[in-house]
Amino acid sequence: MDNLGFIVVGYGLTWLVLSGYTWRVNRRLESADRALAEWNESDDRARESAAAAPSA
Amino acid sequence: MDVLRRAWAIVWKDLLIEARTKQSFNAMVFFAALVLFIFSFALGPDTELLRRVSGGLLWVGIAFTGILSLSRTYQSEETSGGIEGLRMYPGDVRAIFLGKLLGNVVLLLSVEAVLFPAAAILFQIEMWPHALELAGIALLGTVGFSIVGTFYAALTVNLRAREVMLPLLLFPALVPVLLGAVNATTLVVVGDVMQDTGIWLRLLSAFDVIFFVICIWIFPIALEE
Amino acid sequence: MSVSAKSKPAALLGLVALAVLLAGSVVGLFVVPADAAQGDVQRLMYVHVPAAWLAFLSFFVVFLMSVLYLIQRDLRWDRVAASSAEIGVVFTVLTLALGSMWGKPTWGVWWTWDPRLTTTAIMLAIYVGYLAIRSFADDPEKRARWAAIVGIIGFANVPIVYLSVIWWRTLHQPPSSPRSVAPEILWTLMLNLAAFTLVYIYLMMRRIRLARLEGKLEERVAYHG
Repeated sequence: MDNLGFIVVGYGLTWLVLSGYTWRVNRRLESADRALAEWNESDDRARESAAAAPSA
Repeated sequence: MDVLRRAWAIVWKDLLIEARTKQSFNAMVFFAALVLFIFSFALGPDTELLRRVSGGLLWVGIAFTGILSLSRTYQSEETSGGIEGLRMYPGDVRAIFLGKLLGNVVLLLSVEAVLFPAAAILFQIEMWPHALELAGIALLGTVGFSIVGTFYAALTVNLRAREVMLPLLLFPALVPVLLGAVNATTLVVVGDVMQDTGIWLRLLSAFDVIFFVICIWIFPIALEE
Repeated sequence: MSVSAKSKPAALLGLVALAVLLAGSVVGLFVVPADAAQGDVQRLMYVHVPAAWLAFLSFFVVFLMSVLYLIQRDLRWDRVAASSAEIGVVFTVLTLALGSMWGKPTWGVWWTWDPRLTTTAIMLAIYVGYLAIRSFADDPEKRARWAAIVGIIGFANVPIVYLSVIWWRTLHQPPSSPRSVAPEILWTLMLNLAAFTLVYIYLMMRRIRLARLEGKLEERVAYHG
C-alpha cells in the first residue's frame, strides 16, 4: 500500500479519537452517578436524624 | 417611528460625547495607522507586493481598530449605572441596538476617512479616481462589521473575560465581511478585469441585510436578565 | 425517579455502532479497490467525508435545539444542544486532521484553502466560542440563553461563509472537473456514513444523559449552598 503511513495514522486517529471520547463520556457518567448517590445518602441521613430528634 | 426617534437620541448623545473628548477617535486612528506601518515594515519595500495586499492590510487595520472600540460601545451606560440601566430602558430595547449600531458605524467610518488616504500614500495607490466605489465598499463592510460587533458587544458586556470572548465570537462571524471587503477593495485598487467586484458587493449587502434582521430581532433576548 | 448512568438500549446501540464502524474500516481499507488516479490514499475519504458530514449535522442539531430552547425555554433542548456541540467539536477536529492526512500525500501540503476545509476550520472557531460562552454562566437559564444566541448566529453564518470561500477560490482558480464515482466507492462511503451516524446517536444518548445527571448535581449544589 502506498503512503501507508498516512492511511494508518488517519484510520488510527479515527478509532483513537472516537473510542477515547466514548470512554471519557462513560467515565464522567460513572462519577456523576457516584456523586448523586452520595448526595442521596447524605439526604437520607439528614432526614433520619431529623426524624430521630424529638421536637421540643 | 418611536424606535427611530429613541435610537437617534442615543446616537446623538454618544457622538456628542465623542466629539467633545475625541477620546476614541484619536486612539483608533493612531492604532490603525500603526498597524498599517508595522505591516509595511514586515512585508518589505516591494511596492508591487504592497499594492496587491493593500486591500487586506487596510481591512485588517480596520478590524483590529473596530474591535477595540466595540468593547466600549456600552461604556457610558456601564459607568453610570451598569448594564441594568440598559435593561430598564423604557420602550423597545431595540432602539438601543439601532442607536449603538449607528454610533459605531459613524465612528468607524470617520476613522476610515483618515485611514484610506493614509493607505493610499503608504502603498502608493491611486484611490481618488475610485473614491465613490471605495466609499461604497467601506460603507457596506463597516455596517456589516458593526452589526455583528454591536450585538456581540452587548452579549459579552458583563463577562469578566470580555477582551477575549468578544474577538473569539466576532472573528468567525466576520469572515464573509472580511472576504467581501478585502476582495472588493483589492479589485478596485489593482484593476478588475473580470468585473468580479459586483459579486463581493452583493455578498456584503446580503450579509448586512440578513444579520441586521437576525440581530435586531434577537437583541432583547441578549439583554434579558 | 432516579436516572442512572447505566442504560441497556445505549449499550446495545454502542455495540452495533462499533460493529458497523469496524465493517466500514475493513471494507474501506482492504475490500474496495484503490482509486485509479489517487491510489490507496483515497481510502482516507471513507473516514474524512463521514466525519465532515457528522460535524455539520451536529452543528445543525445545535442550531435546531437553540431555536427550540429560545421558543420553549425548556432546558431539555439546551442539554441536547450542548451535547451535540461537544460531539461536534470532536468530529470537526477529526475532519481537519484527516483532511491533512489526505492532503499531504495528494497535494503535497498539510493545508489548502479549499472551501469545505476552510469553512470547517471556521466552524470549529464558532463551536469553540459556543462552548466558551457556556463556561461563563453559572445560572442554567442564562447559560442556555447565551449559548442559544451564539448557536443560532453561528450556524446562520456557515452557509454564507461557505459561499464566500467558494467565490474566493473559484475567482482565483479554474474549477476542477468533476469525475464520475464508481459504485463500489459510493457503497463503501455510505457504509461508513451509516457507521459514523450510529456512533453520533450513541454518543448523543450518553452525553445527554450525562448532561441530565450534571444538571441534577447542579441543582443539589445550588439548593444546599
